[in-house]
Formats: sequence, C-alpha cells, structure tokens
Amino acid sequence: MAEGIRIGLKGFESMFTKSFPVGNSLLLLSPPLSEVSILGLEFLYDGLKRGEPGVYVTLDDSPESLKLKALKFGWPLSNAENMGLMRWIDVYSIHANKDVKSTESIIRVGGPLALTDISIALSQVQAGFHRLSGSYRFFFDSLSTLLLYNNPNTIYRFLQVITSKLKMSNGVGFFTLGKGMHDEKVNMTIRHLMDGAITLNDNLELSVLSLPVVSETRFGKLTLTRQGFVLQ
Amino acid sequence: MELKESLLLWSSPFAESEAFMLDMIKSSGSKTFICLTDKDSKTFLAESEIKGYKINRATKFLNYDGDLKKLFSKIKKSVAKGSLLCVDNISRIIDDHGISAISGLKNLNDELTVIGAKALFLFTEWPYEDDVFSGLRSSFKEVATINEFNGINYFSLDGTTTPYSVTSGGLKVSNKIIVIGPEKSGKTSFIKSVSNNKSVFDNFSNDLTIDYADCDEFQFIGASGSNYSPLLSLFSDASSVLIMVDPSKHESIMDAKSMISSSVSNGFRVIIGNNDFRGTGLKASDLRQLLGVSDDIKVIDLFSEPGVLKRLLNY
Repeated sequence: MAEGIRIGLKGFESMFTKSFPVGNSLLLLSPPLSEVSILGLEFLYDGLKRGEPGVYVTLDDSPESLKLKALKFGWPLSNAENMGLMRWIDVYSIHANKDVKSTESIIRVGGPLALTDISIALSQVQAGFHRLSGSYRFFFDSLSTLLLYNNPNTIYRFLQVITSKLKMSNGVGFFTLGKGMHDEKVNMTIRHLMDGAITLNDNLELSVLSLPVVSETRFGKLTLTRQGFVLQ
Repeated sequence: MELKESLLLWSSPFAESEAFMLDMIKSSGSKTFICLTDKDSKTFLAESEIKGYKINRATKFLNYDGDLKKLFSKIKKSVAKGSLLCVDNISRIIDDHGISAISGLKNLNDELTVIGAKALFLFTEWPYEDDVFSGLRSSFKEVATINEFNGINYFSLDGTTTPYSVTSGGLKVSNKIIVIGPEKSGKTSFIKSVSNNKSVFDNFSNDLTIDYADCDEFQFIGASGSNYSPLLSLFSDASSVLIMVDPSKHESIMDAKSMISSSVSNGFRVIIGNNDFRGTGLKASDLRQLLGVSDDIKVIDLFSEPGVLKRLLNY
C-alpha cells in the first residue's frame, strides 16, 4: 500500500516534508485570478514523471486550454493521457456551451449543479487508477464555482462524501477556494472538512494554516518562472 | 428492466443510476416526462446517447427552476393515465426545500397513482440528516437501491441484488451465473453440456476446483463437490445462482435447502434446477413442494424440458 508521495516542486520539500502521506485533501485558499491552475498542473505533472496517476477536476477552464498552458511550461501531458495516467473531469465546457464530447481521458460533466455526475466521474477515474498505482494525485479547481451555483450545505455534503472517497482510495491533492469570495463561516466549514489548509495572497506569499504533517517551513513566497513555481 | 409501479431509486453518490432510469424508459413504451433538476435537456440527451440510449422524440422535459409549486403544477397538468414521470434527481429538490419537499413528493406520487401514471424518483444518498432518510423510506412504497463497488453497480429490490455495468451499448446486467448444488447433483455435467466451447476448470485451491463455461453471452461458474460458500463471495458480481438438485436423494434436498437460504441471504437471485437424470419422474412443481420455496424462486426441469436453458437465461 502506498504510504506517501514525494512532492518534487522546487522549494516545497521543507513545507511538505520528503514524503507526504496519501489520503489527504488540502484546501488551497487563493485570490481569484491568481495562477493556481499552473500550480495544479505542475503538481500533477510532477507525479506523472514518477508514474503516479493524476486527475484534474476543472470548473473554470477547459482541459484543452489547460493542456496548452501546461505545454508552455514544458509539461506535455498527452503521453500520460494515452497511458491512462492523466485524466480530466471537465465541469466547464458543456456548461460554457462548447460543443464537446467525452474522450478516453476527459469525462465531461453537464455543469456545477450535476454533483452526482461529478462524484460518479471521480469514482470511474479512481477505479481506473487503482489498476495502475497504489495512489494518485488530484487537483480540484475550484470549490468557489460550485458554491456559486449550489447552496453551501449541499457542497458540505458533497465534500464529506468526496473527501472520504479520496482518503479511502489513496488520493492526495488540493481543492481550491477563492479567497475573499465567501463568508468566514463557509471558509471555516470547508477547512473543517479538509486535512489541511494553505493560503496564498496577492503577492503569491504562501502560508500554512494547518497540515497533517509537521512542516519545517510555514511561510514562503512563490515565484513563477519559465519552468514553473519556485517556493523561496 | 420494466417498472411495475412507482419507484424511489436510492443510489450511492458513486453509482450510475441514470442508466437504470434510461433502461426503464426504454422498456416502458409509455409517454414519458422527464424532470431534470441539475442539468439541461441537451446535456441529458447527449449523455444518454453515450450510455447507449436514444430518447424518444415524444418525450417531454419539464424544467425545474427551484419553484416546487410550479413544477408540481406542470407535472399534474401534463402527466396522464399510463404515462411515466422520471424525476432526476430529487436530492436537488431536497437541497432547495429541505424535508418539507418529501411530503410534497409523496403527495405527488399518490396523485399520480390515482390517475394511473407511474413515477421513478432518483435520489442520491448524500449525508443528509436522518429525518430525510426516514421520511423518504416511509413515503415511498417501493424503494430500490443502487450501490457501487469496484466499478460494478448493484441494483437491489425486494432483497434481490442484480449487478450491472454501464457500457456504450446500454446497461448490461452481469452475465455470470453461479452453479452450485449438493454432491453428485450433476453440476459439472450441466456446465459441460451447455458450453459453446470446451469448458475449462481451474484448481483454485486444494479443496476448490472451479468450472467455467461460456454459453452464448452467459458465463457459468461452478465448483466441484459441495464446497459452494467461496463461490458466493468470489463471484459476488454474478447475476444469479443456479442450484442443481437431484430429486432422487433425500440428503440432496436437505443440503439444497441450506444452499438456497445462504444464496438468498447473500442477495442473489436463485433458480433451482430439477436435475432428474435418474428418471424418478419428479417434476419441478414436486421439487418446489419438497423444498418448500416461495413462488418468487424459479424451479425448472433441467433434464426433461426442451429449451430449458433459454428459459433459464430469460428468467
């Protein structure tokens, strides 16, 4: 059974320790429009290089444009898609009236109201990953979009089910939430449903609110380079 | 799968219940009304095609915009005797209106029953308060559940579980049939006789040998001797258990009784095969009496009836 993953992003070793335990969901609180999607792509690509499967659940962008974004940083994802290691759950495109269909690597879901379809898609992806590896990475971007369309209690129930499934299936990754977009009660309840939380401000300064492991560093500044993010 | 009366389809958040609804719509042949609460009809139609179902043009979609009174009024105006109403999914309605929505849904269901229409309500079991679950259970006469485990969906109704998967060709019920029975009841001979190809066996362990045989699109799986328990857990995704009984042996009847009860308690659909290869003249109806099984368990004559296999598979 998988015990932990190594996060190979530059500078992250001291924050996440050498081996980060699987089965944990972390909340990434960040200002809207900050490039958290790049962080998500880099986090998944880092795993793919080690043969760890990854799933990106996107509510704010299409997988096609995210793939293009990744390619600009030198992170080709097509090979991993062909090997079944990289999967997408696209909750954006159909809702944005794009004329698209599901593919081998992309499961399209009708929109942010279709929570059952999102959970079924996650379950299908997890079952596929289970045949390939003991653990997998995920990036869910973002909970804020879900909260725009659903009432908070509905999302809490959804998260209770999803995080427990991610835990049982050895998933590890992030749920993003827009900073300043929701009231404090919503933020705190969602934090309560997670295993840890990290916050990012407008200057890309990162601080650990809580983590399921002891971290040497609790603060840092992210810099976006041509090769991706570096934490200093 | 045909809908006999109004049904609440209660599914786990990871189980594919929409395919089940589509299959029921296909089998019903009735004028259908679909109320979608979390997606639009265009998306639903596209997803239905991916799941292997083409929705009839006569099907009408009823919009839900959060106004429950308006929705109920639209339903009552549209749905007539003999029609089928599908609500996908009532969890959204409960999210929006709380527990009060349940009594509204119950009243709607009662009114539909009075006018002679059937309804299928899909419900996703998110972690609601207990009163939502108990309210739903007490409001609907027929409740079927759908659970998911390792990519296989399990549909349960009236204590019988049917495993199925969703493919691009529609809903596929598991093609596996477990063959068990007391010693020397003719299991291996039966498996060999129905096989399209040469049947194979697998020495699974020192005390368990498993026989496999393909017959058309079905797969029969049997174990030698009377060691049947491991099969029930190893092949929990099987659709049915065929229990072979040699009616000439008294002890065979006793053993079969415990096999029936064990298979039923494991949620399997049970078929009893009267394998009168010794020619006692005992018929399926006699064997039913000897075993004391209820009418919902099928007992068939395996040896004497022509086309028995077809009957078995169509059951």
